[in-house]
Amino acid sequence: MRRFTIPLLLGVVLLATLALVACGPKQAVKLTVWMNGADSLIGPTEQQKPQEQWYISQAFKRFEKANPGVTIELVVQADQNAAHTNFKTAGLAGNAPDVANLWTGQPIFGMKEVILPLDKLVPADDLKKIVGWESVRDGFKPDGTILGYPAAQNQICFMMYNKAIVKKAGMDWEANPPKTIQEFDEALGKIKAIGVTPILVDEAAQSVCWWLAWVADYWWTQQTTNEGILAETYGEKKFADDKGFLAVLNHYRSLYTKGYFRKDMATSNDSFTQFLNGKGAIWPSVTSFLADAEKALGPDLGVLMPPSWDPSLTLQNSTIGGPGQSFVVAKNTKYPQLAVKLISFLNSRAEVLEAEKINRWPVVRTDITPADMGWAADSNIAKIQKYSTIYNYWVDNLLTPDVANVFYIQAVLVATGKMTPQAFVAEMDKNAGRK
Amino acid sequence: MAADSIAGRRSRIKRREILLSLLPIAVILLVFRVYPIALALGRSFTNWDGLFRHDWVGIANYVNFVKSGQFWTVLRNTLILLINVPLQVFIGIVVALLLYEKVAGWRIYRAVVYTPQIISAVIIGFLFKIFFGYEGPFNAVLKAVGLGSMAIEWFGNNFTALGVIVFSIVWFSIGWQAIVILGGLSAIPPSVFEAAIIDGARYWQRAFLIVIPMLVRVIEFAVIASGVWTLTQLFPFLFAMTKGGPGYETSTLDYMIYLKSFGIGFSSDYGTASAIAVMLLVLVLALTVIEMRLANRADDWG
Repeated sequence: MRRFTIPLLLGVVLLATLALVACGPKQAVKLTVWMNGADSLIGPTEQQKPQEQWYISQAFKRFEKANPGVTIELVVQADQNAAHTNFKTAGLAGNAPDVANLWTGQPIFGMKEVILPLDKLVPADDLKKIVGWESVRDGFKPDGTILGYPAAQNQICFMMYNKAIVKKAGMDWEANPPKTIQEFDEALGKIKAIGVTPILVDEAAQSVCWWLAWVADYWWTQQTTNEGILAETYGEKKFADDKGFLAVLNHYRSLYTKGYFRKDMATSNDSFTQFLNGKGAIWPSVTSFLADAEKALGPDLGVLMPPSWDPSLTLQNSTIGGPGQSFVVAKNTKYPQLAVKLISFLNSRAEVLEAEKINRWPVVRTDITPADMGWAADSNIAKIQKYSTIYNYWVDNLLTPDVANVFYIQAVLVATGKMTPQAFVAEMDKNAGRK
Repeated sequence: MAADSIAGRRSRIKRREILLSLLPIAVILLVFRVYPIALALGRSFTNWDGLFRHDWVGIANYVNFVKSGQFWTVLRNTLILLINVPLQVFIGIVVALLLYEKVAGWRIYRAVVYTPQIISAVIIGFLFKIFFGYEGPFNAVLKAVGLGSMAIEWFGNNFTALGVIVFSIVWFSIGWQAIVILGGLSAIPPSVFEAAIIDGARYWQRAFLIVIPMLVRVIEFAVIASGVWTLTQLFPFLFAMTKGGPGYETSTLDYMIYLKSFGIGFSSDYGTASAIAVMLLVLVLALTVIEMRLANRADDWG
């Protein structure tokens, strides 16, 4: 009997210890989240306020309250471009943040070695009620691996315009906006005739050709389609054979030669300020700038969607946009389920409605209407929201990195006449083919 | 025999002391210089993307970069920007001579001339960007004095943009050059100048026939240091002023290393970036050797 006593006692002690550990306070869990400082869940003007007043800080507090023992560390990434390299480097070293806010499309496809596939973790309800999943599926394929969540807000491209200037030029774009490229060019001519710069844009200040990326890409994809552009960037077809793209580039050049763009667009960096000060008629924009522009221009601010390149083409009444931002989970995270729970929480109906109290963006959920948001039917944001389910996904995010480099950096040379459209597309072809 | 043994032992101890004394710097050089250079050289033959892709590609990175349109543009820009070296050395010598001669107010001039050196290069870059902006103060002055036709987009084309960058670098570097040359001047015995004055040598004769020949080694150092600096340290100026653009119109070899590694478009082509770094190293070494040989010849003439 004695020979069983000691093992029995040891067993009891072991079980009691395990029971105490199990019943004791839960171990604290900390999730680190990288968030872009603009164009994401942090609005352009939010950073002027104390951090605890930001929407995202308040959302994290709500999540922490609903999940005792969980704390979230917010790390703001001021440089969105650098955030991708930083994430990649951190992922390689095994210390990437649990959740990172990166751009959708090729930027995340290019680093899937350090991103956790989410196919088995995303709730079915999210797949059903959130739009834009194609932007985070590897290769944009309907069955591609899910590399992240579309961020909870939608960026839609459009043109902001100054109603007073347009009226002075004898037009009313609210009642009769230009519907074709010919009407658009004609309208720009009328604006120039009254001595105002028709389009203000900084086409190289941030090494990105905004006019092409936000407006003219729509005309490109109208003619070539996103699938066609993907085939070109993968080297299966030639950019040089893309007559639609060449026509768009020639139009881009013609806008410069006719004096419709500001003359120093290749070096300027104050177009938005100039636009807010009434120095130009149009500024190409995305939704995150809308609130600031409305504050500055009040009822004079109008919203113009890109006219059609050719009404006979299949794609009509759309624009460039979609969830340009995503949330990804690092492969090295210790808490994959919790990380997905947090992202799902940020995308939930309740949180999207909360976010809209601070920032105004079209939303990516199908179960929220403009009326839910309290937007007037004729408001600028309501007009943009109409496009939140019929957008055409970002063309520049389709381009593979080396092609995107050429596109972003050298396109402005085409406008200013330092490079021919043919030389430009040849350079893109030279860099195509690497996935 | 015993004496030989003691001498041999002392010699061994001496050798060991020398080796031990050299060890710290040798380790530092190996870890912080030789290893990174060797690593960059090795990676320049791969398609390393910063993650897991690092296949051997031979000299493809070098060939592809040289074949690309960018190579000749950035090489041309890099060489054009070297124009700042003779300019800053020449102006530095003139300023140093004026300070050495203790012209009226020389103490104030010395402080003023050196001031740009204590301002961040990024701030200088932004100041010049604003100053030479299309609607900036410089063009405003040109328009005000009736030279509106000369008010151009200074950063809009390669020639004028590089000109402004050279101007900013020279303005930034004059103080450093003047201090270096002034240090060299201080080492020349005053009796040499006194004798020259007694012999009737004029100011410019003293400057060109006495000072410059006696400063050859100092000028050599100034030229090599500022040449290497121009080839490798211009990043903050370019980033703040032009971001290497429009296109690649103001990009240099060292700026391309950044663009290929961390630039827009998420390409992270570290293999090509390493190849450009190796090319830049070869260029720096070649120019340094040429410059040293010229300086040796000048010293012989002196």
